[in-house]
Amino acid sequence: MQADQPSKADLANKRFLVVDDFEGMCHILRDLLRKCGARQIDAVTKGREAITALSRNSYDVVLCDYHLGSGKNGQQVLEEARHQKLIGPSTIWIMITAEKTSDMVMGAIEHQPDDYLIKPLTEAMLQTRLTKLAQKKTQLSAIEAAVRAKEYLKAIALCDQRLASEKGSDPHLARLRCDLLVLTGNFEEARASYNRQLAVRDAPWAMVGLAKLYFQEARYQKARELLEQAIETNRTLLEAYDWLSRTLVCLGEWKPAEELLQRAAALSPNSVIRQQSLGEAALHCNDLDLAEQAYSKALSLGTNSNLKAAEPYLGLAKVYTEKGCQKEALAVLGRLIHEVEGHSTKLQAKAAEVRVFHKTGDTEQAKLCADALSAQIQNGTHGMPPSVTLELAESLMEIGNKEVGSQLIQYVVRNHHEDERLLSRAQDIYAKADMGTEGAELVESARHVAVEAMNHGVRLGAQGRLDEAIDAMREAHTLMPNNPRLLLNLAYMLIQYQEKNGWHHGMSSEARKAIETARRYTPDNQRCGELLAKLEKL
Amino acid sequence: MDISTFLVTSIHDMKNSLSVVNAMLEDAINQTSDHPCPARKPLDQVFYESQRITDNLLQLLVIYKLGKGLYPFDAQEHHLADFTLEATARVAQLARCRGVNISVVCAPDNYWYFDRELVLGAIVHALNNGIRYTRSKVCLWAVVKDGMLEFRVEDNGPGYPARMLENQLCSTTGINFAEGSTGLGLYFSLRVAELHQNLGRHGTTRLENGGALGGGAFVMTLP
Repeated sequence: MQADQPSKADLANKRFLVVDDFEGMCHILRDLLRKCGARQIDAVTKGREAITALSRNSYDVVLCDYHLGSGKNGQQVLEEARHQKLIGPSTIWIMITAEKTSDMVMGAIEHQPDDYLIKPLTEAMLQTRLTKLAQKKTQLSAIEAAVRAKEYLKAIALCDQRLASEKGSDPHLARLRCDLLVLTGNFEEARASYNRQLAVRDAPWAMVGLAKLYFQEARYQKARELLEQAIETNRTLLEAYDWLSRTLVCLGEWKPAEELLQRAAALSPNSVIRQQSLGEAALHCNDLDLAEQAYSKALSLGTNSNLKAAEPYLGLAKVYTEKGCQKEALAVLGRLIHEVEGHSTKLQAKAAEVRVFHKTGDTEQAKLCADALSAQIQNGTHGMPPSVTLELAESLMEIGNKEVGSQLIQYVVRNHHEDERLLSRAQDIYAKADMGTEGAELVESARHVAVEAMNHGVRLGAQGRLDEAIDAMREAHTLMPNNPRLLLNLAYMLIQYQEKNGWHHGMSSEARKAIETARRYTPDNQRCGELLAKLEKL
Repeated sequence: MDISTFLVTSIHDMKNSLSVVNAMLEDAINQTSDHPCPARKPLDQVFYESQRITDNLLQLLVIYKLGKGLYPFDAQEHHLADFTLEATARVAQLARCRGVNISVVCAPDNYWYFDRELVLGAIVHALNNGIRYTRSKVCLWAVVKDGMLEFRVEDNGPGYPARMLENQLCSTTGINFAEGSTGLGLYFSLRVAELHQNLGRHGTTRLENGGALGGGAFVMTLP
């Protein structure tokens, strides 16, 4: 046992930051750290002060209480510190809490601290954990660096090396390896890996992992069965709740999804994404009070976060619109413009305003708003998400501006010609505007344009005329900048060209950008990962 | 409002206050350790009782959360040597006060899957109990046997009374107010063990007399 005792000298040359809103606790932590051999310890009591301290000094270890009174909580401080790159991969971040909560179990890896410590803390506990974490950091730093540089194949190879040399199997490493396999489109190896885990141990993460693979392959029924089974045996497994609700939405079962998200939100109410999903499901089920509650909660959670999204604002505005509260809806959209950055935010807010005025019976005002918008959105480079674009199109059709509305719909169809849900939504809008037959033709012809442009490039590529193929794809790209299939084909051609003619910096970054844009629209597409892997191999 | 909500939030609050009390007590005891001080004996007793209350509150909270499906059960692989070190460190102060020697038997490179906080709660409770009833020694074993992990907390005290050995499976029948035993600790440990399941097997607890030190032995197995 003695040999395992960490040496106190190790901690003497490390710099510590203690963050706790209760000064008494800061003292206790300081004392404990000193007993463990630490010499350089700073302490602050607020999240804001922590960010300042982190930007001024470089710390090796941060001990941060999860609850920091008003203002940012510990998780938000961590996210902001990582986002602003105030801490690097070698910084050890330890979150301290009074009790174990569901949030600590299986959150997204990139948002997790290195460890959670549950009070009461003891010297022995701190000492063993600190030593363990420091060892782990050194061992894993190469892998983490590769992941951050998006060199996923390299990271996988490093994981394999470590797993082969370890005495005990490290489940974190095994899990990370599986995540990386999925990210690089190697579903088969990931599946084999999950199954190997499940053969010896009922590991919830492997169950959820398998279910995620089914989900990505659009085998929703299989995904659902597996996730329901996982929740049955682990009633607080939040990741399983989140994936099951996504699965249910894909199956069109909004009511069960709503109920499930309510259960998950009761277990862990502090996730912006979860509250937002709950708001969306509740709005879909016309449970307006619940939707209002959930979206409002998502907004207030986001107040202290640097990762604000437009969705909860837009969602809440919709809820108010449905309730007939024009003033409140407009106020939320006003906040959206002021509080969220992003080049399409203002347009999205303006587009939503059209809808608010229209739905609350103020057609004249809606028309004025729509006219002001038309000029900016017609050329297609507005950058609004497809669902928002279609909503705007719907409002425009309803207030009589069928020309611009129809243009917007066709733009969406061109860019997402393989997305069945968006296509059928587009048809619905035409049908509602008494343009069913005409609309079907328009949708079909927009789809045809996309397919043709694509096939042209693919044919050239197949004839080995890669230069011309790339040019054709680039040209098609200006016509439909967000079409995932096109983006991936373009990336594929660019990669092929380089496989033949050698690595080229500009082409590589063009390909990477295309793949990343495609992944934003179709995050579950296996081909995104496969192409990323090909790109890395160049 | 439901009375249980108040019970739970109060328990939580009391537990937090006691954590502060315990930390201060530990400090105070350490300050008196260099020179003879008449307050030392009662301080030790206060510290012991206060730890017992903290343990009980913690177990009550967990049992409540388990019942409501709110406890985030999370079995992970843990290094057994670290784990046993952490468990014995929790009771080191108490053992020092009472002059009890604590030893650990554990292979240096073994890992096992379990929910750290739950099992730590059960083992610390068993160690506290051992320190209370032993003559001079308590030993914590962590060994892998027949595909199960076996924790044993053994002592060289008088052993468990026959009544407890007979009734051990339905642990609530062990309530004996005169002896200060509510059965909470054993019930908690049993729940914790049974929560651990793997490939169709689940964990168990039992009480024995004898063992390597000849006193009482608390045994917990985990699949």
